[in-house]
Amino acid sequence: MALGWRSNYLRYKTYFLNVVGHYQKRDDLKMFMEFMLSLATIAIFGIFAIRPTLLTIAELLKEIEGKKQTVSIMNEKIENLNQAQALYEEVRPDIDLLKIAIPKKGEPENLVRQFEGVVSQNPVSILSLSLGQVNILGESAPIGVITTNELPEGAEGLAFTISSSSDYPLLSSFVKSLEGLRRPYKLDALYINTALTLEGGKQLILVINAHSPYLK
Amino acid sequence: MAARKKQSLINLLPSEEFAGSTTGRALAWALSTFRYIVIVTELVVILAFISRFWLDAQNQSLREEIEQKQALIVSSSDFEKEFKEVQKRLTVYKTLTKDSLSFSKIFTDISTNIPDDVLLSTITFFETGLTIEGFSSNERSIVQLAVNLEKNAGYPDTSVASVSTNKEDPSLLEFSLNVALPKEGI
Repeated sequence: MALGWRSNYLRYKTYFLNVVGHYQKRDDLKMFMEFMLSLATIAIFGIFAIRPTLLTIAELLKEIEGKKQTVSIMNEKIENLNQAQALYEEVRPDIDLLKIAIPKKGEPENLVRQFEGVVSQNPVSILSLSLGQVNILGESAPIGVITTNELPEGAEGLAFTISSSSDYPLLSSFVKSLEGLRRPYKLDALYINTALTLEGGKQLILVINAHSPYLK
Repeated sequence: MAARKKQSLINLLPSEEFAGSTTGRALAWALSTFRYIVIVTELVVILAFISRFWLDAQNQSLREEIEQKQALIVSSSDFEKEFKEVQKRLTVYKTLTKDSLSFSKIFTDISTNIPDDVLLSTITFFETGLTIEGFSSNERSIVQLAVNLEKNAGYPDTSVASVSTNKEDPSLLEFSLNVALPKEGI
């Protein structure tokens, strides 16, 4: 096998080494010279002149296309903002009420004031009113603020427990008034039971556990 | 005549050996095909150069437009924040008011459907239902209350959880009813 390639090499060596001689002798080979030169020129010009030019143009076109898309998105956003502005102005009085309903902070004083209003309309005896921990001023305290998963949009809840005593119709009316509070609340539990008084009589006691939402 | 004919076939012009040589062919190619290739390449490059001005102008105009619009959007960022907050508030409010149960209605339902000889001791509401505990001297009245709540008040999932004799007064029966609240119905 080792001798095989050597014998073939010797056989074809003359053809390999005498390419120029063959080229000069044979006219049909000379015919291809122009074709080969043209191909080489086109390749060189294509690589070094046309390709960078076309790449630059393509990059510019891409950049322009991207900017057009950005402008389109911005136009849409501006249009939406204008619509939102018009809508906001239209329902501004309701938005003010909504801000009272879902305040930015806990604002327990407002909640208590609303309870007072309900109690003045329905003269039940308030046995106790307790509010959960809430940040009144400054940044939200990391400890003690209870985030309620049930509330949407990551809203937090100001927990409260209100305990009152009266007769059944008045307590029913009291609960109805509480349902109409400007600040909505999510009820956790509500109990009505009879308890013995110190004098030995019986009284009806209503306990409401709930939390009123506010934004962070 | 034959000799004259033979003489007229003699070509006196020298043969073009240079054109047939490699250098001659290369020169001929350089003056023809190569020239055209160079012209076409230059045309492409010049066209690209000219279009560059137009594209740059367009690009600059778009950049300025974006800057203007960006300034406008930035100036509205406070309002945007405010509006998103209002949307959040609205979602919270809607969720709470949509899902909330009307307890006053439940109170009314219970008080209007209670038989005369039934005395309630405790009513406990939870998110999903309520428990009613009380006393009665008559077993039928307890069942009647459950049936009333089920049929008249519209709480189809009402069940008697327990009935037992009161320890202090054996003539009375202590009972407990569980009522599931259909959210969409209230």
